[in-house]
Amino acid sequence: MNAIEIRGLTKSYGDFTLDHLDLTLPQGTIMGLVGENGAGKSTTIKLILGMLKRDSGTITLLGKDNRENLRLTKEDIGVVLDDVGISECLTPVQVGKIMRLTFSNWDQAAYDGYLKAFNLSENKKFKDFSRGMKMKLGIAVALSHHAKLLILDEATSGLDPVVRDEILDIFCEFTRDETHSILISSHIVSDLEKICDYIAFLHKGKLILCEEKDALKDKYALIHCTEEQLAMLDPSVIVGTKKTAYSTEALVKREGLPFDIEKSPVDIEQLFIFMVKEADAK
Amino acid sequence: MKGLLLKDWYAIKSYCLYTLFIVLVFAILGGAMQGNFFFTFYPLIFISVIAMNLIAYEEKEKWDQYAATLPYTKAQIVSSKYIVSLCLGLGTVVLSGISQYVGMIVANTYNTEKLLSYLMIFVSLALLPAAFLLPFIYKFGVNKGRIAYYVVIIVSCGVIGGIASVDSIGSASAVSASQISIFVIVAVASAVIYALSWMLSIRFYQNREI
Repeated sequence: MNAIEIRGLTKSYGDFTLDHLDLTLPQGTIMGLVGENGAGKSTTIKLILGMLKRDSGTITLLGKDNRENLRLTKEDIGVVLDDVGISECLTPVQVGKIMRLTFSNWDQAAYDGYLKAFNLSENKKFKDFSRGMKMKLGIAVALSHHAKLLILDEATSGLDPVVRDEILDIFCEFTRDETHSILISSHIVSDLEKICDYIAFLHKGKLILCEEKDALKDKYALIHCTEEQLAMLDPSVIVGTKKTAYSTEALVKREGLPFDIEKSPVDIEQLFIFMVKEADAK
Repeated sequence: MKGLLLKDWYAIKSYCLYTLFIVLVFAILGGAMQGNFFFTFYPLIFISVIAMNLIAYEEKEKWDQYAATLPYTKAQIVSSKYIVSLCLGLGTVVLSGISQYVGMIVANTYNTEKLLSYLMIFVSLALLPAAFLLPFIYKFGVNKGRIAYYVVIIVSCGVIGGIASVDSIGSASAVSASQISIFVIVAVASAVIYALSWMLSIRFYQNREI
């Protein structure tokens, strides 16, 4: 079973259109949603959670249509939004009491454990926490009701590198159970590269790529060459180019590339930048 | 929905204690100063501001978005505010009723029919402002809802003036049985309007994108 299946999802408002999005998140995997501001990441997440009304398409969450009894499905979903959204007057203890009455599977011991692990003062008001601490409280709630699916919108932003690393480890640990899955959007592509099995690129409301991360790395490479050398290559292997006064850098498909040309591995951030520029050039 | 109600309770304790204090003081003054209609009736209208304030804080703090990710339906989210408003309104009715009863006993003007009339007016004043305000807020948001709040205040002041002009309420003369019947009918009608408003707000919120 897939954790999330999206088919032909379309949503328009103002001058933005999320255009016939198809996305599949298999169970037991982590998918990273990469995109610039306004690419449609948050819109996609809000549509999945039923916060926005779609124009067309279908969304299946944990095997159920998200228009059918979404309240019950949400019992199995942990969500952390960019702004977290916990009321500023609440303390972690009060949040725990509210969530105990909210989720039928609430695990108070797990929640208390996360509060301790994240060094969150139990009786400090949410408004007095730093952004990183606020995010950690949101993550603690999302992880404390035995969710099968985590949906995280910029959940690692504002965290220092050490805490980010710890939290990424927790997310990896979460998907050790093969019925658990994560959809995570982030500007910090290096985080996604570290933990994701699948990477999806969104650009101006369109999905420009969705593949297994390792397959992407096997499929694409970077080359540094002269313009003349580039001109000698089969145009179908060139995905994008970046020219400066001194050199030419190109993102290429490894398949079909001459053996003698020197190539280096590409990271996800470079891949994304090349693809977005290429999409804009078209 | 218990979680939402508990969250509202915490928010009231943090953000609305000042409002509750004013309501308490005005209700006591209303009983102590028999015949002062501002202190007698205003707490009932003023208490409705709490539901609006709670929604305003939720929008500002993005709790409305967070609540939409939790296992609650939009109907439950709206209903929690109506239940909170109903509890606060009826609590103020009881408080004002006790205050009036004590005030009448102390002033030696106790009259069961008059107290009953007051209670029926209190019920109407506690329910109608929220019944008007909340659908407006769920349809147009809190900022535009504030306009509705000012309209409620102005109309309510007019209503208080109107009530004061009813001879038997504004003076020491007895309240007739037919007048009591009218107050009871108005109170029941207010309850029906509150229920209709509740359903309308759910419909508005279900169509709203968060």
